[in-house]
Amino acid sequence: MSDTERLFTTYHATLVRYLTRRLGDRDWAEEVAQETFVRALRQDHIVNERSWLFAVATNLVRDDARKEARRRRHLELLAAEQRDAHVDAPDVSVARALDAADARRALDTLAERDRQALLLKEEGLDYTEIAEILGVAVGSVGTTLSRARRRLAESFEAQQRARAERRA
Amino acid sequence: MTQPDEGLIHAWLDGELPPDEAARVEQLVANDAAWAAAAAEARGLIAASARILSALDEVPAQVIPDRPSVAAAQPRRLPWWTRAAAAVIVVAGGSVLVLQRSEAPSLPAPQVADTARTPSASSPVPAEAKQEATTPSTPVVSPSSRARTATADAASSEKSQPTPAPAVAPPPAGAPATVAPSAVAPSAVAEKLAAPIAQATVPTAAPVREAVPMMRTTGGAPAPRAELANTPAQPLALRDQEARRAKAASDVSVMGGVVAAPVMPACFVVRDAATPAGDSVVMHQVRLTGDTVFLASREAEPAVTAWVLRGAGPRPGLRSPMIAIIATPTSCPKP
Repeated sequence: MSDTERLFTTYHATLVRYLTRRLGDRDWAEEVAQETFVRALRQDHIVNERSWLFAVATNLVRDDARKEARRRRHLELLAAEQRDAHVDAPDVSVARALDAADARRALDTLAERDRQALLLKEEGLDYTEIAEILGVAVGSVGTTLSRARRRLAESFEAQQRARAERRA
Repeated sequence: MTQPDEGLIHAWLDGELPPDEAARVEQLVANDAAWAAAAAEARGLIAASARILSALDEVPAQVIPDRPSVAAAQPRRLPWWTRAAAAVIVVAGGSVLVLQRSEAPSLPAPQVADTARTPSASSPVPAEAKQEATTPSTPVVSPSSRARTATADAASSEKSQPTPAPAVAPPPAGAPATVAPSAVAPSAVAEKLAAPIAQATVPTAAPVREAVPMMRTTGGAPAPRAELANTPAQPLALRDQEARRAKAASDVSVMGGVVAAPVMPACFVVRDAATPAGDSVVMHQVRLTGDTVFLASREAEPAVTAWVLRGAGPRPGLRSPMIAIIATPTSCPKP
């Protein structure tokens, strides 16, 4: 297995999931992920692959590199294979779609740094990597995450409660 | 008994604490009811947030119209000459230029901008400064305000002086601005020196682009030639990122500096000291206003424009992040 395939196989699923959660659009997430891998392939040496990939992906989101990423289609086949292998066909019931909408709204209530820290942590990045990507002190990541988790849960709960009240 | 530290508890539950610290937290959670409650709550929050976030995974493509707000795009990395926060333009005019200078005793002595303010030059000019720069009657109460008042006075006198005839036709309407009075750094000297030039060179419809402490030669008091030669030239054009973003539509860059060149030839090879001559950009003179020579690139896309001031020539004393620019007169390429 080449370095390219190994990198792709190892990180593509988590990176796309992170980006999908971050962006709320799988196509966009796929494009940004592919652009991230294209850039990774141009690098001679990457010390921490995971940290590097997520940092670049985060920056690409920030830079809104979607248009440029659209032209980077040469990894599309690998992406499709990876998606077929790791992502089940979604069973989007109405209830789950509503949950997803509530979750999206709850996530959007978080501050940008809190949101990124939470999404990165959910993808398994450790505090050091998160601190590096966000440019914060390692010691502050725990506090950031505790705040983000609390606000996410509270906001989600509020969304659900409001929806239930509307239905009632 | 200490208050539970939520961040510490989350770090502990995430397995991010060193062993000794983890043991300490574990001990607290085991022996302290408040810490135990906080840990239980943290466990619940961790599980809940994971569950909530997993709901986001079932997002079909292209069905969510609203995209989360993302931070504004970072400014693009631009060519070296546009990355220059300030530039000193040196013209290898040689003896011809010296000769021309000696034959032009009326050439005003250069005045030096306060280059120490370069890092702050990108910051907006205080409203007060802008106000004073356009209000000559402002009472003089301090050296800085005196300088600003002098700026306004100089601007007034500059307006009343006849402007030297341009060597070539002025740029078309909408041509990129070089400097604007309101964008000049709040250095007293810089303001004093820059405002008249700005007023003389900025098209009225052009947007404010640059914060530019710079050297001014027009209208300055004549100086002995030896003094002129020893004047540390620090003409600067500072790229202001806000202005850069604002001008994204035109994507025109501006730099500035001093050139001890005569009006002719009307083209210059422009490069920095670290750039091979082969990578230079030929810029042609599009306008001459007083001692300000306006250049526009013939080769670069998008077009790069520059303004230069004829003045003192090469000088040391560059400060980061300035880049020394060498502008050498050359024959104009055929269109």
